Amino acid sequence: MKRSWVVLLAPAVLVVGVALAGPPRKPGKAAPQRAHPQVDPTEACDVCHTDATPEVVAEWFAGKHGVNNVKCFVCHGSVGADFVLRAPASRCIGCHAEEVASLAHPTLTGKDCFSCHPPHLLSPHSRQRATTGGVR
Amino acid sequence: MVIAGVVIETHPGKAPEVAVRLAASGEVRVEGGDGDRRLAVVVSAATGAELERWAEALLRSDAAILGVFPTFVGQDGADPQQEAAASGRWSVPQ
Amino acid sequence: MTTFSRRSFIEASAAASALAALGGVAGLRQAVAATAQGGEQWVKSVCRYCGTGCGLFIGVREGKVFAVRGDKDNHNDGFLCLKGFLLPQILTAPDRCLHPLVRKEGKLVRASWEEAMALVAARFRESIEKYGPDSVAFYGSGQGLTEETYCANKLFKAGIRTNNVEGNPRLCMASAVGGYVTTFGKDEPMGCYEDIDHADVFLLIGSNTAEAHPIIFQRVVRRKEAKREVKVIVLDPRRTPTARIADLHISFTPGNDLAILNAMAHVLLKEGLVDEDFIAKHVTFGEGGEVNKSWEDYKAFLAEYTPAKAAAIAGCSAADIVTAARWFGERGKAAMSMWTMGLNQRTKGVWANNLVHNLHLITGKIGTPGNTPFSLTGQPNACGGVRDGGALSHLLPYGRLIANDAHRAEMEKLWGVPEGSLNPKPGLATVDMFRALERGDIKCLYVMCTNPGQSLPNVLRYRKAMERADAFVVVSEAFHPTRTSELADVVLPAALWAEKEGVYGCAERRYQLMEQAIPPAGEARPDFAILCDLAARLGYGKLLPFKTPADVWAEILTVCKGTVYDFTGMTRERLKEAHGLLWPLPTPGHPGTKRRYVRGEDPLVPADHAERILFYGRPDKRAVVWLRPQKPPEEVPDAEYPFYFTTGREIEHWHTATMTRNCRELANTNLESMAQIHPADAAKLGLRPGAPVRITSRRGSQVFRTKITDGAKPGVVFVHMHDPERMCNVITIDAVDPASKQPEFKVCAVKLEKV
Repeated sequence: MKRSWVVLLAPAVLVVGVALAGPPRKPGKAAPQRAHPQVDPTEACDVCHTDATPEVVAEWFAGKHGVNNVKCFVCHGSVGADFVLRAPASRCIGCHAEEVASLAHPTLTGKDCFSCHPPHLLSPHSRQRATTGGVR
Repeated sequence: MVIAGVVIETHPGKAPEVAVRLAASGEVRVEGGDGDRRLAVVVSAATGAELERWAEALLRSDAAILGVFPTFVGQDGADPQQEAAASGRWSVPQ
Repeated sequence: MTTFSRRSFIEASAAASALAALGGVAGLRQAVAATAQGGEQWVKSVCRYCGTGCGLFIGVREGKVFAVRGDKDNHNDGFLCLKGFLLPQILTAPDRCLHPLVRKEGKLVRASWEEAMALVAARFRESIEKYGPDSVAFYGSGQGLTEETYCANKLFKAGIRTNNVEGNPRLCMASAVGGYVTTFGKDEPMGCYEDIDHADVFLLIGSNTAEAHPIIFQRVVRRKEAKREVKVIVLDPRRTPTARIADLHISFTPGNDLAILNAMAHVLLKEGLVDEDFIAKHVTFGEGGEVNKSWEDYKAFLAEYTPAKAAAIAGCSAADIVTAARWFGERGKAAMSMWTMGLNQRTKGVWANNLVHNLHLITGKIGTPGNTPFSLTGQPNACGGVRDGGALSHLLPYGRLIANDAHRAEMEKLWGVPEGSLNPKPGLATVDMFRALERGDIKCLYVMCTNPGQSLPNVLRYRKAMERADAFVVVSEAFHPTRTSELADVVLPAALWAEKEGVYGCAERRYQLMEQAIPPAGEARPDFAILCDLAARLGYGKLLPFKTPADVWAEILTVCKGTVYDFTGMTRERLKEAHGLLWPLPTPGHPGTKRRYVRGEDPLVPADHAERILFYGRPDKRAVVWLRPQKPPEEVPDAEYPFYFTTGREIEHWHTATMTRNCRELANTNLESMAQIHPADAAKLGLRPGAPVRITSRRGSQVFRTKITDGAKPGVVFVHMHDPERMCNVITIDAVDPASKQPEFKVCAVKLEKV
C-alpha cells in the first residue's frame, strides 16, 4: 500500500537533528488486537495460512524473516492468549533494539514499525524489493 | 514545494559510487555519507506524491540501493495533498 | 546576522536531519545500552542455547528478566534466533526445580540442602573407600560454565583421583576434536566467523545450519546477498531449509559422504587445483594412526575415488561431485567448510572430519580470510568448558593428556597436589561409563546440567542402568522432571543462565563473560557453589578454595599460560568490558586471534617465521592429510530393517527441550517428534499425514505420527531429538567411533510398520 510522505508534515513542526529520548511510544493507529481463531496449537501456521492468507505467507517467505526462519510466533506469539495481530514495537527489540529506539524521533510520533515497513515482507521501505539476493 | 532530508541505504561499500551517480543526476543534493552504506541527501519536488515516485524510480533503477528513508519533510508553500493528510486519513498496509 | 529564506531554512533542516541520522546509529546505541534507565537494567550476557554464542543484553526490571536484546557490538550484530529471542520465559518456567529432592521409599521428596548434600557426600565417600576412586564418576555438560566444569574436573581427577570425568560433548563434538587433533595436532578451529564475510564458496556438509545455527546461517545469507557470485554447496541426504540457499544440493545415502569427499579431492588433483607449494611446505601424509605416507601415496590412494565410483557408492550424481570440487577449488576463490553433527555423530566421524580438512590442505585454502575448515559446535560451552578445559576422561586442561607423563606432572604442580596424584590411566568415555554403571562397576554418578536419560543412544539400556538399585545417581538440574532427574536418587536445584555468572566459550574460540542478572529462583544454587560444597564435604576443600567464579577464573589463567590456548590476557575486567575475546590472547593488551597458525595474527607464530603459516600443533610443524577410505556406518539397512533412521534438530527446540518447551510460543510448535518420510515411502506403506507409524530397530521401538515431506530422502526416515515423550534414542545405536568414542546417532537401520 502507498505510504504518503506528506503525512510526515502533520503536525507542521520543523525539526533539526535526531532527538534521543525516552522509550518508544505506542502507535496511534493500532489495528484492533483480535484473538486467533481456535485451532490445533500443534499445527504449523502455514498449514492453514498457505490457503487462508497466501500472499502473507509468500511475502514472509520471500523476505528476510522468511529466509532466516524468524517464524510467525516471534512477532505474533502463540495462538493462545498471548496472540497479537499487530506486534507492538517492544516485541522487536530482541534483534532490532536500535530501530525500535529510533521510533522516539519526533517525525515518528504515533508510528510503529509497520507504519512504514510492510509487515511480512519487512522491506526497508514500502514496495522495496526483497533483498534476498541470490536466495530463492 | 516539498523538501525532504533523506537517508539512502546501499549495499555495504556501495555508498560512494551511488553518491557519484546521484550527484551527477542533478535530482538531489548529496550532503554527506558514512563512506560505506549510507548517504544523506536533500531532495525537493512539487508535491509529496512526486517525491514518492522519485523514490520508487530510484529503487527500481539502482540495484545498489536498498532503501530510501525520509528523515524530515518540510513544506514551502501550499500542497494540495497536505489537506488530505491533515484530515487524518492514512492507509495501513494490508 | 544571517537571514534565511523559508526555503533555505527548510533545506538546512532537511540536510541536518539526514546527516544526523547517518551518525545517529552510534548515539542510538548508547541510548539503548544505557543502564538504569527508568528502573531498567541491561546486563551483558550470552545466549543459553547453541554453540554460535550470540551476545545479548538481559533486561531486568524489579528483579525480573523481562526481555533480551541482541548485542550489536558482538559477532551476531544484534541478532538472535527465535529461541534466543524467547529466553526470558525459561527462568520462570513452572517446572523449574526449586528445592533439593531425595528419593525415599521410591519417591522423590523435598529435602533441605544440608540433608541432600550430606547424603551425596556420604554415598560418594563410602563408595570411594569401599570400591576405590573409579567406582564414582562425573558426567557433565557443554552447557556448564567454564569455572564450574573446571571445578568438577579438578575435584574428581586431582581430589578423588578418578579419570571418570566425562561430558555430553562426547556425544556431539568428540569427532571434531579428533579430527582437529589428528590433522593439526591441537583442537579447535583456526578460523573465525568473520571468515564468512570473505568466503566465495561455502561447503555445508552434515549441517542443517538454517535450523541448528540460525545466526551463522544468517551471516552466510548476508554474504550471499552482498556478493551474488558466492556459491553455496550443501551436502545432506535431506533437503532441509538450509538447502534453500544452495546453488548445489547433493543428496546421498547416509554414511557414504566419505566417498564424496575423497572424490572431490580426486577432482581437485586431476584438474590441477591443488597447491603443490603449500603441500610441500606444510603438509604431511598418514594412514591409520601413522604419519608415514607421501604425496605420491595419497595420489595413488585417490585414484580409485573417481566421481563415478563415489556417485555409485553414495547414490548421487558424478557431475555434481565434479561441480562441487570445481567450485571449491577454483583458484582465487576463498572456500569455507562448515559441518556439525552429520559428520561428527558417526562411527567414522574422525575420518569424515579429516577428509574435510584434506580439501583445504591440498588446495592451500586455509589461513587467509574466507579460507578455512570451520567446525560448528553444538553447545554453548562445549569448547570453552569441556574441550578446552580438558574435562573428558582422557584429557587434562588446555591441550594436556592424561596419558602424557609430563602433562600430568605439570598439572600436579599447577593444582598443588603431590607428584603421582593423577591417575595415569584414562577413564571411561561416556558410553563405556554408562556400561560400567550397568555392570555395577560404577556405583555413584554425578550428572550436571545434562539429560542422558533422553540423550544417550540406545537410551532404554542406560536408563535401566541408572535405575539399578545399587546405582546412586545425583542430578544437578534447573528443571524437574526431566527424563534424567526422574531417575535420580538426589536432585539438586541448579541456578539457570541469568542467575549465575561465568564464562562461555563458543565455536569461534570466543570466550565471553555472562554476568549475573537476577538471583537464583527458589533454593537453586549455581553449580559452582554446589561443587565447592561437595569438595569441602569430601575433604577436598583445599582444591576448591574459591569464593567466587572470578577466583576460579584467576586460577584458570595460570593453568592456560604457556599452552597453545594461552588466554592469560583475558582478565575478568577485560572480559567484563569486551564483547567476547578470541584466544590465543596471551598478554593484557593483546587484541585476540582471528586466525591461528598465521604469522602476524597468531601470537604463537614467531613474527620472523619464514613462512606465513606454521602448524605448531604438531612436532614436525605440518598438518596431516589422512588417507581415509570410504567405510559404511556400523548398521545399514538390510532385508529385515530396510530403512535408514536418522536424527537431528529443528529450529524451535534445543537439545532435549527442557528449556524451550517452557516458552509459550514453542510449547506446541514442533515439540512432538514425528517420523519425516518421503511421499513415495509413505504411499508404499499406506501412511497418510498424521498416521501413527511404528519404527523399530534392533534396540527398541517407538510409535510416531507421520509427517510427509518431499525434503525427505526416499528410504530415509528422520526424527528429531527434542521430544521427551517420543524419544528417538529408543531406536538409535550406541556404536561409537573407535578413535573419538562418539556414538553414531545419525545412522542405523529400522523397519516401519503402519500401526
